[in-house]
Amino acid sequence: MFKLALASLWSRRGSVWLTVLAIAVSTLLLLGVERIRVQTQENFATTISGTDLIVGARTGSTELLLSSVFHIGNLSNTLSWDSYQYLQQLPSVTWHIPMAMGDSVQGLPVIATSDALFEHFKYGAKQSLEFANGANFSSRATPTVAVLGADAAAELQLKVDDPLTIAHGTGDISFSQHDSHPFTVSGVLARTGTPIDRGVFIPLAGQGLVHGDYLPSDSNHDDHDHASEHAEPPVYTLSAVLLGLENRAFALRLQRVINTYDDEALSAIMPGLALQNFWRTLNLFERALMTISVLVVITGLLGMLTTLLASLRERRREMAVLRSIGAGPLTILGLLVCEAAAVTLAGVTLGTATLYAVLLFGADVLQDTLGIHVTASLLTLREVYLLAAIVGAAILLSFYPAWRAYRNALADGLTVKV
Amino acid sequence: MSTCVELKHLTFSWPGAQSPLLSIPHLKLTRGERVLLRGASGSGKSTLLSLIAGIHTSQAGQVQVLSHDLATLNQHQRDRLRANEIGYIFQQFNLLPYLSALTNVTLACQFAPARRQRLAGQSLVAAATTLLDRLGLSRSQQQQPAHQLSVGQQQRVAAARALLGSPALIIADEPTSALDQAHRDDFIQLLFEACEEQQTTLLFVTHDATLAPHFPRTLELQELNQVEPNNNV
Repeated sequence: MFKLALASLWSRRGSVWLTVLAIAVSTLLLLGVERIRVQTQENFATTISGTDLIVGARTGSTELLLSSVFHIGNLSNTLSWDSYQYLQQLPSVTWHIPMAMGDSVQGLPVIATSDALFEHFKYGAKQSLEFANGANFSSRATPTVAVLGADAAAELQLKVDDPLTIAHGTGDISFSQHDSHPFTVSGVLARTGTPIDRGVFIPLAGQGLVHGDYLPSDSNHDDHDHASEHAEPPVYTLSAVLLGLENRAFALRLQRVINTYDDEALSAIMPGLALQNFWRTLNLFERALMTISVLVVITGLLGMLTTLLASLRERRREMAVLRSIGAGPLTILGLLVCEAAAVTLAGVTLGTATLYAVLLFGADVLQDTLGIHVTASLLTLREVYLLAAIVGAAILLSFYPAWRAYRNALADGLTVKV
Repeated sequence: MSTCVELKHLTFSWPGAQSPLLSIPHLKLTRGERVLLRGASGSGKSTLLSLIAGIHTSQAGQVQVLSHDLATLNQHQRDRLRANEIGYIFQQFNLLPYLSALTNVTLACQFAPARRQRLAGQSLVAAATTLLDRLGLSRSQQQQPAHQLSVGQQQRVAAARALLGSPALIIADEPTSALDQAHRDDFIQLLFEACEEQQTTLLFVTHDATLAPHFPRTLELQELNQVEPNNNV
C-alpha cells in the first residue's frame, strides 16, 4: 500500500514537491529557532565565568549585571575608591577587577579598568582573554593606552599603535570631546563572542587623567572629580568591581558582608544566579520566537492539507478503480494517511538536512554577520520530539481528507460522474 | 450448471428517493454464461451492477453471488468477495494512470489472495504478462505508464486485470462505448475467448442494441425491472 501511495504521489510530483518544500522550510525554521534559542542561552550563560561576585553601589541585580557584564545602561550610583580598597582586603578575595564606565567611542562602551581584567576575567568554559595583537596597558609607559575588543577594533578600523580619541558620555555625538588626550592602542583582543568584543578598555589612570583635565560646566558630572589634582587614587569612583574568591563557597557569606557594609551602601551579586534570573525575563521574547515558528509549521501542514483535499476531486476516479478491484474504504483511508506521512517525512528530512548543511557550511557566516555561534551537533531529544510532533500532527490532520475520501468512496461506489 | 449470481425480490432505492429505482423479482446467471444486459441510460444499470458487486446493498430481497447472500456479509467481507471473485471493467478510465500497464494488472491480485492461488504456481507477473501477450499488447507497451496507451489498449489492459486469476464473474459496464466498431468487435471477441477458457461468467452491460447478436442471452432491464418507469425521478 505504501508503494501505491508513493507511485500516486510521484505521478503528482509537481504539487507534491511544493508541499514537501513548504514542510521542509517550516521544519528548518522550527529547528533553527530551537538551535539558536539553546545556543543563545548557552552563550549568554557563559558571558562571564570564574567571577564569584560582582559588587556595585546599592542597585538592582539586573542593572548591575547589565552594566558590568554587558556594558549596557549607565549606573547612576557609583562606589568609592575607599570601598574598593575595603573589598580588596576582604578574606579569601584572590583577585579583583575594577571597572568604571560611562564614556564611549563612536557608540562603543569605554571601560576603565586595570590589567587584572586581562589576567583574571574568564568567559565561556573558563577561557581567559587573549591578545590577538599587542599587549596590555603596562606594556606602555603612559596611562593613555587602550586595548580594543575584536569588534571594536574592526568597527573603529584601528590597529596597534593607532591613535584614539575618547569622548565623554555614552552618546555617539558628545558635547565634549577630549581631544587633548589622544590614546594609543596597545593591544587588540581575540574574538570571544561576548560583549567584551565591543569594549574599548583603558586604564583607570587614563580615565582619571581625561576627566581631571576637563571640567564640565553642567552639574551632571559631579561624580567625576579632578583625579589628577589629588595625587593618590587614579579615580574617585568606580562603577563595579569583579571579585574572584579563593573558594566559591565563601561567596554567599561574603555577599552578606558586603551588602551590610556600613560605610557605603553596596550590593554584591553572584553572576551565575543573576544571569539566570535575567534570562528568565527574556523568556517572553524566546516564547514569541517559538510561537512564530510553530505557526509557520502549522501553515506548512495546512498547505499539505489543502493539496490533499484539492487532489481528492480529481482522484475520485482513481479511488473507484481501487474500490472495483476490491480495496475497502479503509484501504483508501490508509492510502491517504500514508501519502501524508510520506510527504511530511520527506519534508522533515529535507528540512533537517538543510539545517545541517547550513550549520556545517554557514556557521562562520552566521558568526560573522549575526554574531550567533551555532554548532552542528546531533539532534537533541527535544528536537527529535519536535520533529515527531510535526509528523504526528500531519498524520492526524490527514485523517480529515482521508475521511472525506472514505465517505466519497462509500457514496460513489463504482459510478463516478466526473 | 451451478449458479453464479441470483437475485430474488430485489428492491433498491437511493437514500432520500421516494420510489424505488429497481425492483427485480428474479434473475439468475449460471456459471460460464455470457449475458448481455441492455438498458437505456439512467435506467439503473450501473446501480444494479454495484449491487451485484457488493458496493451498495439492497433494502429488500436477496443478492446471491456464488451462493453468498451479500446482505449477510459485512463491508469487509463483501470487499474481499469482490476482490476474489469479480472482475470489473469500466466504460473508460479503468487504469491508474501513473502505474505501468503490467502493474495495473497485477494490482488486482494484491487485494485478492484467492485469485493469486488460482494462478497455479505461475508468478503474478508471469501470469499477467501471458495474459497481456494474448490480448495483444507488446512487452514494451506493457511497461509503459497506462496513460500513454490508446483507449483500445487501455480497455484490453482493463480486461486483463479483470480476468487475471480467473474470477467467477466479470462485470463489464459499457466497456466498448469508447471504442470504434472494429476495436469493439475485437475486444468482445477477446473477452469471450478468455471467459470461455476460464469458465467465467460475463455480465456485459450496454445501451447499444447492436451488440446483442454476439451474445447467447440478452436481458432487457426494462422487462426485468418491475418499477413503473414514470415513477422514476
